[in-house]
Amino acid sequence: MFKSADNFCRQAVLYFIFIWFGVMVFAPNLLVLLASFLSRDPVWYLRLPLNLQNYVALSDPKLLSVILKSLNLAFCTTLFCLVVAYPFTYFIARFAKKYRALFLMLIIVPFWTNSLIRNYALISILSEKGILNTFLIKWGIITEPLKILYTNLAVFIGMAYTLLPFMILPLYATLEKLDNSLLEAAEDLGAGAIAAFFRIVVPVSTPGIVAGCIMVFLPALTLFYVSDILGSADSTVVGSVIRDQFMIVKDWPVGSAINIALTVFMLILLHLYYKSGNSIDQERPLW
Amino acid sequence: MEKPSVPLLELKSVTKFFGANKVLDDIDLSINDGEFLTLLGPSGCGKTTLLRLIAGFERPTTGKIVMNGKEISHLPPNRRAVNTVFQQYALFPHMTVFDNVAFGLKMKGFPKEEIETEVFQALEKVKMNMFYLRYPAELSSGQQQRVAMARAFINNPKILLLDEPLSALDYRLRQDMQIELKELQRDLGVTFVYVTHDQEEALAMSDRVAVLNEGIIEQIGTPIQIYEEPRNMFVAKFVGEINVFDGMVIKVGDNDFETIVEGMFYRLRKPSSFEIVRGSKIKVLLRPEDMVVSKVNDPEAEAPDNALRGVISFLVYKGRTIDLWIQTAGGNMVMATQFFNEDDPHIIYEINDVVNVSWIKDWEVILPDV
Repeated sequence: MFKSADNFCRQAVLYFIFIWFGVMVFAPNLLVLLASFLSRDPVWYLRLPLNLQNYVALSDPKLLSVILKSLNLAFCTTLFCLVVAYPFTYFIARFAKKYRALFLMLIIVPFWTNSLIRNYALISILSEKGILNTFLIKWGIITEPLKILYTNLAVFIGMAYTLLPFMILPLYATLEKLDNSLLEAAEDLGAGAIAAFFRIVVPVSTPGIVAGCIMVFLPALTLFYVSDILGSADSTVVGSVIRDQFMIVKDWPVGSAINIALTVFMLILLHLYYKSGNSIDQERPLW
Repeated sequence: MEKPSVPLLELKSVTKFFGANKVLDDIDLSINDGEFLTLLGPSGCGKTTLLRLIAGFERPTTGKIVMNGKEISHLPPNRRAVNTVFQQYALFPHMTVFDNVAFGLKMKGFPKEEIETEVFQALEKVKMNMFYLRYPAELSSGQQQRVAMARAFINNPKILLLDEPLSALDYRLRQDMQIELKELQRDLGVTFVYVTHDQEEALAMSDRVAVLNEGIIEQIGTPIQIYEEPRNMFVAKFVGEINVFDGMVIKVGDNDFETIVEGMFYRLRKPSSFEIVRGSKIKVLLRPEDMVVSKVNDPEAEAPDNALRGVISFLVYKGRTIDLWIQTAGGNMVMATQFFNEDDPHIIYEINDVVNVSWIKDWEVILPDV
């Protein structure tokens, strides 16, 4: 009797997960995919016939240049977050257990404040009469205030600041599990600190690096409010374009097509990673 | 084999503290070239720390580690002619078996062709050359263990340090690996320093066993010495099963002495290790397999000289032997292992049987009662 009750629970949980995925993930994405092949309607937003016109629209040079710039920004943000987060996380993960939780808390607590508000706060730091310039001038490092706010640099700073924890947390998850005896084995076999780091630590933590990069790269393409708050007209991200297509131009099909293109792009990157054979987890290429 | 005059490795009054916690206390230990030395002890006795000191992962707080006459206490692991086989093997998960084994030679900058030859030779020795393209996760724990061995000895160490390498294996595989390890050691001619808490393993494999407890070496000697002539109660109780009787010395002769054990009168041979004093308390120790048990048909009859009367309260049949737990009249529980007697195959012991228990003369171990 208990067994069947147990079985029922398991079945119920499974069904719940299936339904959840179906309703929350699969169906919406399918709708977006469908929309990307439909035509624009000024009243109903979408109408037949099916066509590929929306994907052809992606080749618009103005749109392409925005996408390229956005990709560049996302790439720089991801790289910066990785380079900063990796050593930081590595040392936290090597700390005694009781300190680790504290450090993680210190990283997470600021993110209980809405990121919109935190990006507004960045304005007061980066603006011409902001905190940064005030101090730099006071200390005599510069004489003229730096023009950072409303440039691509400001968007980059905002993105990196907003997304850094999304790099730290997956990295921490893998680096914390890194078995210290692997490092001792490497040392025992004659590897110096640098060799051990690049030949053992980095490859073993690759799943964390990949997870972190995905978690940073995709939002860095789409977090339009960061570029809205801190950027100029020149620093539009793909996310802004998609939003504009939906909210302002009201061209849902093209917005959907851009979105699908992004998803496909990410899938291709992931596929290349798994195919490269660098993955040590049991996951295999999806195709 | 002639023993070299200078030991391969010497630990000279080595003490190790972790914070205020003294883990090793004034350890003196010599390791001879080519021997299989086992550090045996319960968890927390300092055996792993001792191994890590030799490996170079820890530095002694005081004292010296000398190899071939040269002090190596402060050299890092890669500048000592020792390699370690780790407890959980610590194979690099992202590398194939080949790359794992090749790692040490690669770090030393060996040419590619030479690495290839050496790696396959090493894998051959542990019968793993078929698996060179596998990843550690694709191997059984026994296979991982072999790869870990090959990865260590390919570097031609003077001493191979093994930290409980068989503890992750199941009982049967462990037995097979014990023999394989011993053969490998003979084949390589390398000194093995082996850490274990399993006394059976220690006795089966070692040339010498050092029994550690709370940071000191309680006894060091051949497996036979450790098992048959334990120097103190700790060694006696930790290595194998043993029966302990309290005795009181009543008369001391030239070569023997008289004592009362369990209310019975015994004349025993004087031990060489300490002075027997009249009126002092002693411990009489006996291995279960040295006990002699005979069934009593008439419980009313007196027990013969040198025998204790008892009742079987528990027994375990083990195929070749039978283990009996006998409650003596004096209230002690005595364990006796009986081999089946070919001359008398019909002896059947049962619970509540009344028996006489004695032991093979002179096989007892006498220790002072402290």
